[in-house]
Amino acid sequence: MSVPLADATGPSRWVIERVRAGGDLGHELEALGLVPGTPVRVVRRARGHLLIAVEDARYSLGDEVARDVLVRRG
Amino acid sequence: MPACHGGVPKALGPTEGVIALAGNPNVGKSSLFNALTGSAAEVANYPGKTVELQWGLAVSEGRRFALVDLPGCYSLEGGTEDQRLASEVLRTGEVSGVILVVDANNLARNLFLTLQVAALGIPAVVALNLVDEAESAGTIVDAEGLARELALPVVRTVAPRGEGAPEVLRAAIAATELVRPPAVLPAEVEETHRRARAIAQSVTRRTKAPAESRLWRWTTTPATGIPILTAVLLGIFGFVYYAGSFLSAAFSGAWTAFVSPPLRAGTFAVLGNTVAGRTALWGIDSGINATLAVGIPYVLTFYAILAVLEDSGYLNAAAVLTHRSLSKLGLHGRAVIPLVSGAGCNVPAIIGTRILASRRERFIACTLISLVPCSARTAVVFGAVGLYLGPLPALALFGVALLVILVTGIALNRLLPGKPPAFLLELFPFRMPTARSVAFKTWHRFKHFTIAAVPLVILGSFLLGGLYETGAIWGLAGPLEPVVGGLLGLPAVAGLALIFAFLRKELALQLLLTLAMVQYGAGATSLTAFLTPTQLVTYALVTMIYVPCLASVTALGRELGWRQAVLISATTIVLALVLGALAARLPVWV
Repeated sequence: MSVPLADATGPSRWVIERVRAGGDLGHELEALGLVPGTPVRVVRRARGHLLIAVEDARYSLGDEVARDVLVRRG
Repeated sequence: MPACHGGVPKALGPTEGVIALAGNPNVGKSSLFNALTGSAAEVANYPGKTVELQWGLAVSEGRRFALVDLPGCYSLEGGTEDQRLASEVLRTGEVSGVILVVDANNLARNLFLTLQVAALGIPAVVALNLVDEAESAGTIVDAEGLARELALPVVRTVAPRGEGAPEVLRAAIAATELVRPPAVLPAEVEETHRRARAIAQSVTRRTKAPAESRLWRWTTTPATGIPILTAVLLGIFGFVYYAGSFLSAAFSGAWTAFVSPPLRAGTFAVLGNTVAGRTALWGIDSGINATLAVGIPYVLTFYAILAVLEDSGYLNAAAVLTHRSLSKLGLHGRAVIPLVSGAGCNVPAIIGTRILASRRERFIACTLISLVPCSARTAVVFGAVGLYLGPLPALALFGVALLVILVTGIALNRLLPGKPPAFLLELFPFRMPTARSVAFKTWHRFKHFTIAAVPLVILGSFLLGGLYETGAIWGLAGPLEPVVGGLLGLPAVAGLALIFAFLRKELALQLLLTLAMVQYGAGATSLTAFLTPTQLVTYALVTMIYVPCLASVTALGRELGWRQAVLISATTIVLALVLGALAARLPVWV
């Protein structure tokens, strides 16, 4: 079952199932490799945003963006 | 290869073709560009585009190629203006070859763009950059293996030290001789990413597990990040203010001592001590002196500190902390740097908004920066209100300015079409900036600013000088009376001084006293001799809020276009008049 990355609690390792964002944000997520099938690790959560690791890259996502990225347990 | 490339600056002279440097942001592309071109870089727009590109001449074994540093991008598809430009330059077929700069620390993500560019069929080489940093972090990349997987030459480089630069250029020139068929790219983006990850995994060996950067944690966690950000912002403000003031005094002092006297003598010898002679001096002498005292020193210091921040990787960490608050004003967290530096000088801060992605954000940021009291306006507030009425009324004026900035930001965010930017950014590894890279970036940006802005400031000085010397300035007193006297309750000389302060805000005090002495006689040596406390506050408040100065309007025009520059200037004038009228009628300041 997939959940928005913003709500993904528990284990820190997830795999992206689907990206709901379109337009420029969709392109940006796609360019950064945040596409279905990509393993993601939640490094840290903070108020309003979260820090994730994708391979060797680290990204900070606002909650509004993280709600558009659906993940399943990896 | 024919030199059919429209965007190549003529200053580079004849070249055999164009080699583009492409890569993700912050992978050392600019360092490699510096290493390949030395200091002979030209900044030019690509035909039909507003984004500027850095061009340089790269010479290897007598062969001359134009080198263009494309904006850093993650993909050739969609996105920002920078990305679209990089994509267009590569797709138009005008480049003879491309050097793909790839960060060895982050191979999988970097290879996505590499695969996209390889699919275009442009002769290409890969600069496997920052191999030293990767190896010390325990990441060993097999360059030969990578070359086999990509079917492209791969050269190991450490661009900040120039290592591998000559070899990569030789390889790129050699590649331009070859005809390379386009590589086949999977139809799905996910597949290309999967392939990039697979290649990266097959050529990378880890000698130790990657450690999570403590600096990232310290700089992005509020408990430690906010004190660090406060210290950095105070540092930026202090550096721009004090180093800028020092340079301002040095440049302006040197001009006044060594250039002004012969210039004055020469002008009077040719034109005589006439209206024409004195107007010419306003333009050349006062105009250049104004740029030496106001724009240039602060722009230079700000560019230096911006280059340090960019190269260190701190800019994005700061954005993580501030995004939540700034998004209420319609801004991305990255806007914090130009907003704060506006307190030193608005001009570099306006230029600094280039780090923001959308025009909406840049318009909001530039409007708010125009309302941030710069050091010159701060001097006027303390010189007028602080000196005569005490520090508390002066500080209250800064409180008013802060409130105006917040309300304007919130209002613009609600009124302007579009949405605040979504927050998504890469955290870059922290790196020690190199003096060479900082000096290079600072000098080239500064040179470009000076060439563009100084002539406009000189022209403005001529016009204002002409008004003053012909006496036409006094003719403005009548038409200004309903606003200056009626609305703001100020004497006519104050209105005239406000017009001249458009050239330099410091003039708001000096010129007010000069004009007052002409109007009221030699006794008007103190502001309180002809202004009441309420008038002092009104005058300082209007000076603080209305159009920053000619140099900043020039910067607004260059960055946003003249229509938006006029709109922002008009908004600040209306705000200043409304607040001035309120201050004149609410004498709570005394």
